[in-house]
Amino acid sequence: MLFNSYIFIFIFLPVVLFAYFFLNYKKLTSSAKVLLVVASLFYYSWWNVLYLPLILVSMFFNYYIGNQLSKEKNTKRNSKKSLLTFGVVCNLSLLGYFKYADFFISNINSVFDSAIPLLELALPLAISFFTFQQIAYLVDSYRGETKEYDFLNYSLFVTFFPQLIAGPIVHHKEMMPQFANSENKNFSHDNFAAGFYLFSLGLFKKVVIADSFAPWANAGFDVAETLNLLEAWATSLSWTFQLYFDFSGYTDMALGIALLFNIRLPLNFNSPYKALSIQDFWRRWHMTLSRFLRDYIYIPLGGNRNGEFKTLNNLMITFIVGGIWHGAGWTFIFWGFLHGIALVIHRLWGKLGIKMNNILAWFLTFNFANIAWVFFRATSWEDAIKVLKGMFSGAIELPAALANKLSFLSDYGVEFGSGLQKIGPNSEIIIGLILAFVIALALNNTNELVEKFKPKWYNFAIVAVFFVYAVVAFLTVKSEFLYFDF
Amino acid sequence: MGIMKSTKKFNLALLIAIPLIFAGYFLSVYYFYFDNKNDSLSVETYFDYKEALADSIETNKILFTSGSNNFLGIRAYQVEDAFNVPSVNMAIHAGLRAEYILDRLKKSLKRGDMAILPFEYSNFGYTGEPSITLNKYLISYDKEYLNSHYDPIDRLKILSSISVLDLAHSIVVGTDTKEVAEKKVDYLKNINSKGDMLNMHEHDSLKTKKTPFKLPAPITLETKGLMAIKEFSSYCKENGIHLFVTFPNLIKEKAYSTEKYQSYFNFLSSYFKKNKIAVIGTPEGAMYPKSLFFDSEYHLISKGSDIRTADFIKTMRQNKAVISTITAMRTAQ
Repeated sequence: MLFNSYIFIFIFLPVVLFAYFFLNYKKLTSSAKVLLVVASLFYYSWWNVLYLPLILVSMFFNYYIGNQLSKEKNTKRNSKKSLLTFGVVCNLSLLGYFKYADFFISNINSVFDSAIPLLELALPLAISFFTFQQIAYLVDSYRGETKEYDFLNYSLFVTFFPQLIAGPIVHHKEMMPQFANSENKNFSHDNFAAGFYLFSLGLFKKVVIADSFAPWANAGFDVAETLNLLEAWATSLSWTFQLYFDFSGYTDMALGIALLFNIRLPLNFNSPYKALSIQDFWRRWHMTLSRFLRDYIYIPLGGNRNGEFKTLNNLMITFIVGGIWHGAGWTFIFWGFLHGIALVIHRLWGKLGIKMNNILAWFLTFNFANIAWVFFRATSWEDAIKVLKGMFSGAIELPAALANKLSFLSDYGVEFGSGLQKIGPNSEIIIGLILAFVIALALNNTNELVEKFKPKWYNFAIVAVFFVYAVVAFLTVKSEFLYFDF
Repeated sequence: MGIMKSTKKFNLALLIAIPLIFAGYFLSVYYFYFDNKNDSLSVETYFDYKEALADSIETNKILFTSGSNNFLGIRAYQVEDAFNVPSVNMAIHAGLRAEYILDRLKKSLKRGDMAILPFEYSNFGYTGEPSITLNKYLISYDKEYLNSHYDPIDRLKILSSISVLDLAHSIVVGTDTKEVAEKKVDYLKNINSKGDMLNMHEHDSLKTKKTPFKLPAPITLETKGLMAIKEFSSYCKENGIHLFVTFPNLIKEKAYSTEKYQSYFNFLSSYFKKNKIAVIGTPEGAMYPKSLFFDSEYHLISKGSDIRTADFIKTMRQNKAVISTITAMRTAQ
């Protein structure tokens, strides 16, 4: 059941929302929480009920370990550390088994020319997200930063359906007080209006914008055997915008749905393609993952406290882990490595004290992100190299329709032929990319829009038109969110 | 500037307006949408032409149907020459899906006819996912089928597959323009009098990768496509029609010799055997090198079509059930 499915929008969400506030209205607050947990587990099981025991076992296990860690205030530090290590290792082993075992085996087979059979396990949905969220919980319990919650509250923290599948990755301390706050138990027209507004914007971003770029990116990466220069750039830019509008659209929907329940989830995107440096980019892109990597990997590694070399080393490790988290493949690892290198260069540049012109800074940052995304998207090295080769040494081939007007360009090696035809219709791709640049760079982002939200006629028109248009667009098309694979 | 006095009014207004907008949209699509710029017009043109060809034959005949793999695959005129039995190539578009293609074929079949189905794997493995090609065609040209074969929810889903831009285009352009008439003539210029598409030569798109077709999960699933064939087989038995299933022409890939694909091919053969549906040839027997195809893994160029037809005729000659059926058809003429 996807956020952009009619079963979710017209049946699941209204029923759960009504039942939740009805139970709270009747002062059955525990029952309301049970309802949310059960509904969330039902939502999770919709894809494959076989995954349900996995998340349940993971929850029981982490709740038990977390409770032990927060109870043992007087226990020796070494014993607590061993318990924490055990908990973290178990979580990572679960993730490793399902997500990385085949990657590991195939590398062993390549290096030692062996033929160990692959496990070919299906990746349980959301495993990366709920594992990281619970590792954070264990570490916070170890640090004495958690209170003792009952299992119902803990279950709600892990399973709350708006954020269960693809984040944002939440901290218990930003969720638990909200679930406990009695004011949040009453239906709020203000939150409903703002939440529905945000949901409609996110739905439109996903269904209308991101899904429009998908066929062009797919054609360039997966179908075409060769790409000319324009096709290669159009392919990489299509993917760059598809990923952004898909994931930020999903996040807007998650934040909007949570707001219907009077719960505020942390922001995950803040116009990342407006970033003026790679550090700035990571403060704007998948912000809750960046926060996790900073708080639970970079800082525990020593952060910037042990000299310059160690700091740079820690940055590299953190981003390589970030790459591995996204997927079991060398292209993901290389993508993380590239970002680590970029962060290192950014830090060294900062030491020089030279301020870069903002336009140049944006240009470099955006293009770096765009080029690095090629490795993130490609399903093989060959496909990544094919796209990059086209971007940097492909033939310049303009659409034949321009041959009369621009014939003088043939003196400079420009050819006239199919233009972007191998990945999609020329005019649609060009208009699509221009609009995407305008939306991503010149307009307020959805967080800013929802902050300023007022119940005025133009917002009414936006919600009604965007919602209906997006629903009409997706009802017959099953389009999953890209981050469900991570 | 009108300001709604409270968020409560804002929410109530939304609650009323959104269903009304949906209703208005669906009614507009149902009554005003007409596809004259995509596949629907060509599909309708081909149906008109091919069904007229089939109807004009008074004796028993051989009808081929599937998606476009056979529009450009086995040539009916060569089969007719080889066996001296009138033959028509009824295949049009895989996106019309097995259920509709077979339902439509029933109109052209008479007792004693032979139907050969070289369906694409997308149709063997069809699990009910929506087809924009079929939806647009039904709304534009076959509302009777739309109203009689789908429940209200499915009908709403089909209507919702028409985008706002497509609806606007059809309202602006209208239904009966000179351009439509010209297109119809253009669609038929490469079709012979037996419904085969000819003159397809090498194409630029050979530069595109052709990935192996997607297997259903699990491979042993009785898909909607297979159920449609099973139901059609019962219809054929009840009406004295000789049914044969065969496999589509397809680019040969290494993947098809792997265990996964072989298991799927075995499953298909055992499924047809179990349901007493006669089969001609094997999946591998219909696979050819990439150089014989153009813009899709199913679309043969003319040279490929020649080879495919010759191979298929040879396979038909080796199949006792086919030969005895054809002999009976000839005797009845």
